[in-house]
Amino acid sequence: MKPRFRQAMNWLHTWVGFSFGWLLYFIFITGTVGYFDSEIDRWMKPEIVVENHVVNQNELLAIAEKELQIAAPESPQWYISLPASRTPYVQIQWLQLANEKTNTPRDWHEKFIDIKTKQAKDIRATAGGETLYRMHYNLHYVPKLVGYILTSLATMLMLIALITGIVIHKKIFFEFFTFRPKKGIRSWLDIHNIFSVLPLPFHLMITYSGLLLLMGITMSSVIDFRYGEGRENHRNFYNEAQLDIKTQKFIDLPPETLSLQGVLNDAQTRYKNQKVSYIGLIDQDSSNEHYEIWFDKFEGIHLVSKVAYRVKNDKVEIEISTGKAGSAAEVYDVFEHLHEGLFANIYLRWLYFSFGLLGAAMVATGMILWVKKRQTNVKSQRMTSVISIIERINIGVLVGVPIAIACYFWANRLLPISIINRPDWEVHCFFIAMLVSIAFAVCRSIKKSWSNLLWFTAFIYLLIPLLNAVTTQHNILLSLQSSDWLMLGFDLSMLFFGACFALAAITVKEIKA
Amino acid sequence: MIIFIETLLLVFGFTLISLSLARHYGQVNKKRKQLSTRLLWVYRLSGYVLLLAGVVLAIYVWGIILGLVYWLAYATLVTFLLSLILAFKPNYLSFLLLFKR
Repeated sequence: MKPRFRQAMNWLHTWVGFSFGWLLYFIFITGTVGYFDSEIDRWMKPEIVVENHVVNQNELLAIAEKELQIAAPESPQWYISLPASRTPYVQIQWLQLANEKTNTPRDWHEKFIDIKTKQAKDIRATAGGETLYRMHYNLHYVPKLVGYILTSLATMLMLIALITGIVIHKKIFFEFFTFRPKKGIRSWLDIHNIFSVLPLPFHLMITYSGLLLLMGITMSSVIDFRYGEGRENHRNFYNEAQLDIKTQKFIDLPPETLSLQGVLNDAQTRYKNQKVSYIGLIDQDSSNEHYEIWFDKFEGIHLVSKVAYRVKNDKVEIEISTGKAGSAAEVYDVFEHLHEGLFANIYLRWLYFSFGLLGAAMVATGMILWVKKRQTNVKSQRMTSVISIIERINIGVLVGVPIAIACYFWANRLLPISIINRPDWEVHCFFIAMLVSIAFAVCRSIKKSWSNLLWFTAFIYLLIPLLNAVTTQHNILLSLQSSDWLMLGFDLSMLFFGACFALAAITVKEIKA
Repeated sequence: MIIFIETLLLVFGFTLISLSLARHYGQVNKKRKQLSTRLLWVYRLSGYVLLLAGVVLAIYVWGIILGLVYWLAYATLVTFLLSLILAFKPNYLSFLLLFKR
């Protein structure tokens, strides 16, 4: 290969990576945490009591229906979720339409059903795991469209950085396993290569599929050309592109028995080896009234979607969705599912999670390398101070994002339950924590801020199980006794991450010494 | 059980490939630094054969997409751990040398 070409690629890799490095780091971390969004949700809603035993479904549905009648008699969409491995509890959800008289916006509400007391219970208002996961593509504070465009741009540059990275890596096979510790910049380059090359299949998949997921935004002018501008026209495109194959057939279920129980029983006998995850009752008391059954067990990468039950000409008709009509939509589906990893069992889920962290580590080591390389050949006094500022902000961001996540969890437990806009405040705490750590890193000397911030992170992560024990009725022993695996797993993971940060803090000290 | 076989194939496959690289061979075998060309190819080919067997097995068991997902995921895990072993405790792998001498 011509040396000139490699040099150009090197330049591109360096500056593409540098320009969006911090944003990519943020995206990688928050997206990775999103692989455990249900588990985080469970922790952030400590009022929920898990149900590990097999429940009497008819009784359960009766309670849920009664509670939905009380809470939302006029809601057009009711959903009841049954216990599943990632959500071992019963929840009711309903759509509240906008009401101008009482000035309430259109919104989803949820309550959880305590099977022992046979009542619905309120859950604290929390942003939960979902908001944390959504941050990785909507960036929360900016308007949605800006968030999508920025993350999409970052993803595009990430893909460029990956490909140029492969081009400039001279010995990708000979140094496949190579890490030489304690050799200064050489070691940083080695570890950057290890974080990038070994999980390269994951990095390429996640970046490319991420790009695809936002193609409706980035390629919107293509849609404009064919379907016209504006949201309505784009909706036509999505409906057409994502068309499901649906088959309808009449079944011999008496129409008068069509109820939540009847539908669930029928679906369970009809699809014996699939688990129902939730049931919906849509447009009650209208001409479009129908029930929906959604399945939980994702056998394979194609999610099995739903079955709808409705009464038509005094007969019960079921409608089954079996995949996408277009083959492009099928490809899109596969990439979407690969990206989201919803099909993954607990082991694969942890692997997904660790590879996401390796991605974040790749960006982090890349940023550190950028700083180190520039420090070795500075030309002027002004450059030195600019690089020093960048190095400080870098420390603030790299350690600040984990700190922010911990503070998000702390806020969930410590903010008063009755505070208005509580979910928003949890998110504010997230970003305030990040800004404070950046400010801290800018003010403190570089040598000390690494170790100070890392110790602080270790400390707040290690204290989370304690905080949980003090502020709620959950603690590690109790979770173990009551087989509350998600709560236990979360607390233990926090201890683990705390230990990792402590280890990092010790290592940093050794490197400096 | 299958996941165990799959992991074994990956561990031995990648370890053999790493031994076919002069640097890692030297790390593992402190006495004989030089790797003969013949031995190099024995390591390299047997490593690739094991990896290929792993891919075929995974696709056979889980289907083409999931099989590749599982294989690549476990491959990443194995290579990552292997690179740590080679960096800090290379002598853990020396049993393979006796085995293959």
